[in-house]
Amino acid sequence: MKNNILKWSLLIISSLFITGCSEFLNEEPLAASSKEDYYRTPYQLQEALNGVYDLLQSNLYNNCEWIFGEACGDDVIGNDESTANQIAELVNFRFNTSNNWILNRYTVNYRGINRANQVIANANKVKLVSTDYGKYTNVREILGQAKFLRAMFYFNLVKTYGGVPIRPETEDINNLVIPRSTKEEVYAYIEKDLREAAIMLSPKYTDDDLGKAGRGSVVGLLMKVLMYQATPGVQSEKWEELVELGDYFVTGKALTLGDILQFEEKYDEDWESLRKRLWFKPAAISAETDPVETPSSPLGDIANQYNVEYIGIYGDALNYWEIFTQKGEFYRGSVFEVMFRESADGTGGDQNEGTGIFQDLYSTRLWISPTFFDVIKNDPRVSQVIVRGGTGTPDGERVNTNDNRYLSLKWYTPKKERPLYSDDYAKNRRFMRYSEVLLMYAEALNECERGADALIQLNKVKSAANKITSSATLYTSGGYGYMRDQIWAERRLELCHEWDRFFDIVRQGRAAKIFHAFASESATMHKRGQYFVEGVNEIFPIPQTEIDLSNGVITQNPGY
Amino acid sequence: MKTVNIFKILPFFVLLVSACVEEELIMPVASVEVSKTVYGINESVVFNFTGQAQQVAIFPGDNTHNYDLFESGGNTGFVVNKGTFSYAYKQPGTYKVVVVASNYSEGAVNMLKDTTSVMIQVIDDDVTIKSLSCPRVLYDEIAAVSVNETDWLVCLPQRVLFRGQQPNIPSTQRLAVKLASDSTVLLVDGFAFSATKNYQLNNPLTLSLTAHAGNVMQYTLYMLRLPEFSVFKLNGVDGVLTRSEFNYDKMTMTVTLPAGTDKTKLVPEFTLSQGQEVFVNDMLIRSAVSEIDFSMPVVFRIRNTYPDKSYLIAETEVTVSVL
Repeated sequence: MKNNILKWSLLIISSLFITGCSEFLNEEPLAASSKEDYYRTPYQLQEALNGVYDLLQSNLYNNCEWIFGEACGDDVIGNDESTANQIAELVNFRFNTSNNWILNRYTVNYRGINRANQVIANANKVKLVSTDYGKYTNVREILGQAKFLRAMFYFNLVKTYGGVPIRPETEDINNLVIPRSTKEEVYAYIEKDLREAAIMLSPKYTDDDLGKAGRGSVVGLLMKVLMYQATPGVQSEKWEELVELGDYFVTGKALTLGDILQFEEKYDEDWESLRKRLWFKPAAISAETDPVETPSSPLGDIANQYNVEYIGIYGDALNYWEIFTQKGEFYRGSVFEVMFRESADGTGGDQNEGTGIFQDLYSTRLWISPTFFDVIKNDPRVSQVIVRGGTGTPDGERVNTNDNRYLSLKWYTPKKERPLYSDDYAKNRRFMRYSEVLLMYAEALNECERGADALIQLNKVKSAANKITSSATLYTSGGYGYMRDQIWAERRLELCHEWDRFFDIVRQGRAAKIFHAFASESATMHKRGQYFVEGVNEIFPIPQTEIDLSNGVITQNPGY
Repeated sequence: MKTVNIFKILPFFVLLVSACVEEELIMPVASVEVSKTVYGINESVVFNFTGQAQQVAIFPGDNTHNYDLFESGGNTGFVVNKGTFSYAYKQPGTYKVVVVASNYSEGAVNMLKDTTSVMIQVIDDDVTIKSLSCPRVLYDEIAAVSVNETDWLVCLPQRVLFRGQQPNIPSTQRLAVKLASDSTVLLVDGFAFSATKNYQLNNPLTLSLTAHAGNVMQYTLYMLRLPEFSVFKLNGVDGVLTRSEFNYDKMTMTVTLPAGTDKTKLVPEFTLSQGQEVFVNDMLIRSAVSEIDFSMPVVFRIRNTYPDKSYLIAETEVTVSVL
């Protein structure tokens, strides 16, 4: 009998527990935010924007950047030659459509797009506490940065895979499979984002706002996007537009808001609607002292914001190698940087507050190819860009590697900047530098039959480098092909090891020629480039899982 | 004495025992479908696995993926996901594609496999020229342009300005030819193309392309010189020509006339090579006949047309200023 009472008591208590759980699960949380009511204040929108920037700091994003941009190029070789791993397959162009890194790059960039879309799609939910012009500016600049970052992610995708799906800003759970847009459509989408961001942002951010993308970052990226759409040797309006932007960025030629937007040609929307959408203060409620922007309003000058010389943020002179260290962060030639910071709590094990990727590349992963050494050995930058095993770094540290190897100092972290924990390496990545802006401008000038002007811009970069060794050797006048080759040679020297070489030679249309020569530089050392197939490997395949999940809606690139 | 009803626990016992019995390994079935068996270079071949197996691998049959050489090492296949696999062949040829279907027991202690094969023919009949240029015109590369389906034209300067010198540009030049296919054979005037040979461009060159599949196409490369004034005079005074170091087809010329000369009605005297014409604002200009206003710099457009081929044109702009 007692047993029965006990059993029944246990049963009742258990059912109470279960009922209690059930009710608890049904309870509405009192303090949680939903997507519908979260983006009410500029602060909340800023938090969402921080989430977009956060992705740039992730190991996954950065690993994808160097693997595709650098390791697939011909400036380096590494320890992935004989090992049967996924990176080895990729850099030797012996991969298949299920390669993990091909999937990783695809997904991490879409993750960034998704985060940027959250900001862009929800900006209209923000309620301001006052109608001060500055309040609108605050929201507008958040939105502008989100557009810049979204453009950056799409640019990564289109140059890697060709045309890709353009995700709706607000996802529909019933319509998740989106077919691929054409390459031209994706570029048009990127351009629109960047052109709008250019009128929304301040020229450059400083002090507490360091690291935010300003108009200089936007216009620099827009120049690059235009360059990737143009073909060397073929007249194109993209080259002309690039020259126009270079005239603005470098020589200070005036542009209006309407000019950079191409408002007359590209917009059906009326100006006031566009102002409202981009968070310019509506004209109807503007105070007398508020600026009311029009298509003919001047786009603020950025020509004096940057410098090709190696000058630190505080005006201190830097050695060339130092502009790639913490000391050189935000130096006068830095147009956009991906920021890393040591862990705020000073502990190890972090993934995003800093990254050991640079140290990994420097110490174990990649070293200089003989081909690249031949190019740089007589350049003034040689001692500042590469260092031989068994010798010493510029700050006196012995280089512990094979004596026949040269390592890149652009990835080196000086002893005094080493973090306590190896995961916390906190050196910013230089995403774009002013020297690249000058070289893009020079290339476009040459394409537009302004070779003499191109030479001036090209030699600005060379003159800065010449100061390292007091060299006086400059590039010389010549015909179109000669000038183009000089500009490309300088691009390789000045921008080496900044994770862009593969994409650069592809857009120049000479990847196959370079890779096949690269494969024969030393038969005993590596076979990189041997299997590069012209007309196929310039872009990578869409990840197989994307094809499979879409049931054929997403189609594969030719040759895969 | 507590009793246990055996029938209550019997089902659990049976379940336990049956779970321990190893599942019988079933013979897999290898079967594959392709939409066609003849493909072009780099064309995607989609293999749909239609058999039954736990694991499927495909050996496409090209270099390092040859199943017949699998045992000797160095050759591998590709794992098939979700029954579909796409591949593209880089070289023409006939390939034996082997599909390996396998079933295996836990830990792969026992494995059964079945294979099937399909023959894929890859043909290459591409006879396209992607680009054509003179890669070493002194120090520069000058591209030829495709004028129509068969004709290419390269325009060479007569001289160039380089480091203060104005050397002649010879009509014998090396050629750089980029073909759409590595398998296509190129003959120039009947002989195998050489990237290091200097070809005489004064006469048209015939470029014959023969694709691996037998397709033949002939192109012709023509060369025109960028035209220049041999002589240019105003009121008997010679013009001084200045070449651009950057643009071979754009030159400037200055003519210094005595102070007080009326610049608005000057009649230029010039000589050109045979077949060449000169225009100002689309008006044909005749030497010692046409009157021109030189109060501002005047742009002369000299046109050189290939004999009997009016669509092959080289043009130079000479901007003449009277000082």
